[in-house]
Amino acid sequence: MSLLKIKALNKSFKANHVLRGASLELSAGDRHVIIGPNGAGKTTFVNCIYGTIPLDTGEVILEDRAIHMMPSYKRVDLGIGRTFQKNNLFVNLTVTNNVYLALLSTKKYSMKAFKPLMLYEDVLEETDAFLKEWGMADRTDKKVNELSYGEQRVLEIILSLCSNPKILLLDEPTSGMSPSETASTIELIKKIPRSVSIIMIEHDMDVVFSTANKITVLHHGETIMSGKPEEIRGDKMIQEIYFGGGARTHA
Amino acid sequence: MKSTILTIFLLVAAVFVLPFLMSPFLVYMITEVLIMGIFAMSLGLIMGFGGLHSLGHSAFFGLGAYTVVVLSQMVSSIYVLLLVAILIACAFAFVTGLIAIRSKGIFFLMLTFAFTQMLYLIFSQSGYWGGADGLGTSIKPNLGFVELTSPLSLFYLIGGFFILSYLLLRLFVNSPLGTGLQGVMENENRMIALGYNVRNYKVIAYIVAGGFAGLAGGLYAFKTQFASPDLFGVHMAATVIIMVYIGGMGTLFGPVLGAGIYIFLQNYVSTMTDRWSLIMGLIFIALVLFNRGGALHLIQLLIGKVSSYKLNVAKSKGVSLNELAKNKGTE
Repeated sequence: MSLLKIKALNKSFKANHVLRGASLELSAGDRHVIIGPNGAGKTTFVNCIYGTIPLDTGEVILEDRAIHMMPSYKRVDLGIGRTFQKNNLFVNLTVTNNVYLALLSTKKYSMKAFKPLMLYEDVLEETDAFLKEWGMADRTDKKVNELSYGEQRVLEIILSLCSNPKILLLDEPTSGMSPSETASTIELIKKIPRSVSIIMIEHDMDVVFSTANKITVLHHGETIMSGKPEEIRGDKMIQEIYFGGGARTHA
Repeated sequence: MKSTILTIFLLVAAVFVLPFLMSPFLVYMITEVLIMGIFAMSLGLIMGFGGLHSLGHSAFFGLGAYTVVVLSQMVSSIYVLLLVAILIACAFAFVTGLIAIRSKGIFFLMLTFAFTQMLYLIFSQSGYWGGADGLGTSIKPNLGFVELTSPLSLFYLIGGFFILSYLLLRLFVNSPLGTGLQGVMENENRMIALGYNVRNYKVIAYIVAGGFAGLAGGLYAFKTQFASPDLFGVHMAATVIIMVYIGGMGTLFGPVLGAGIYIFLQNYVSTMTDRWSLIMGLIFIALVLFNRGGALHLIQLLIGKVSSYKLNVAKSKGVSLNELAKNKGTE
């Protein structure tokens, strides 16, 4: 049974018809990568799943439940998390405070006003555990704008994992990274537990083929192909269009 | 935790001791500083922690003052008067907040300003409540068991309310809700992505700030025995913004310091020259240009300089940093 069904999404921005019936099916545990040239509608697709922008027509169904009319924060409650193409963090707060904010929301403490945050022991402990697990333990008191770009990307992923998502939407996790940072991000993505299914937009073919177990190709807002990595890699047409005749370049 | 207890102790001690050290005029002036301090703290809450720059915060102050003055003709208990003042301010904050919070930046500023101007017109044009001349009363704070009549007892009363407000606001700022509020100011989109209902945060902060401003307004009425439509004016709204700016945004104590500086300058420089607001303006410009953190940040910088100087001296004498830290801990 599929965890998430996305059926025939349509979205226009004025005259610009960005999504034309894009679809996708996600099973539990999948690492599903969306590829496609610039302007194919990948980020819009993810935004529609997540609820950042409303769709025109189509359905997003999470475990038999239609969620495409819900506001984002409710979708987060139901188990959809995301990271952003550009780092989207609280840059003037410390690393720990960033994680606190994420955990407070998950634990439903966010509306408590009469007990200092420092007395919520479970939040403090889990924050420590998260930061240790993801190798950020020595960065706790640094402000986010003092971190390197790669470290900020890691924090992005940590924050999105704090909400215990069933599905994680990663929007170009390696964009703007150096080759070595990209390599460690691949390791990071592999480290995400299988209980979290992933939909990922990615340009870097190394990342795509080392993480994906399914690939969907989006072109002009349409799903033109969806399948296992071998099938996509072997497909002549896809090769022609995206891999420039076999050469491993940016799609 | 320790620092909180220390702060409470210092505040209580300061309020208790100050009148013995100062002239009655100074006590009177500090009473005003404390009232405006509560007012400025409440604006500092939404400006410095919520990123909501309001040019209409005087609405709540004015409503608080009018509530006390008008109701004092019927009720004498200070509890009832202040409670109603706070509730009315909160209610107004709730209604206008729901509307104003939909917009950001300059639009939020103009909307809050418009609401306050509306109140200004209503109170200055209507036949009730004294119209443009304002409304006077003669009310002494009646605590139930004792009626406070002397300026000194008024000072202690307001000092008590100030400490209470400071502690409550501090609790609010340090709670999960307050942390969330800062998150909303820092990065609203990310907060939504984390599952927060961002609008609730802003509205709640706006209501809390409105309530404390209402309290300040109510206390102000006890001090001046008077409420006029000018409380809703542009001047009042701008004054409190200036207090927050010169004191230091993003802290609770900064705005109080700002209120102190403003009122001291107003009282002392105005005895020397009529152009005291020119000096105020220059200070304001200098702080905005060179030190966004305000006066509080300036003081912290100075203290930092001094302690880093001490550190350097210690280093040159060959004392290790660890020892210095140990000594600091035991002192």
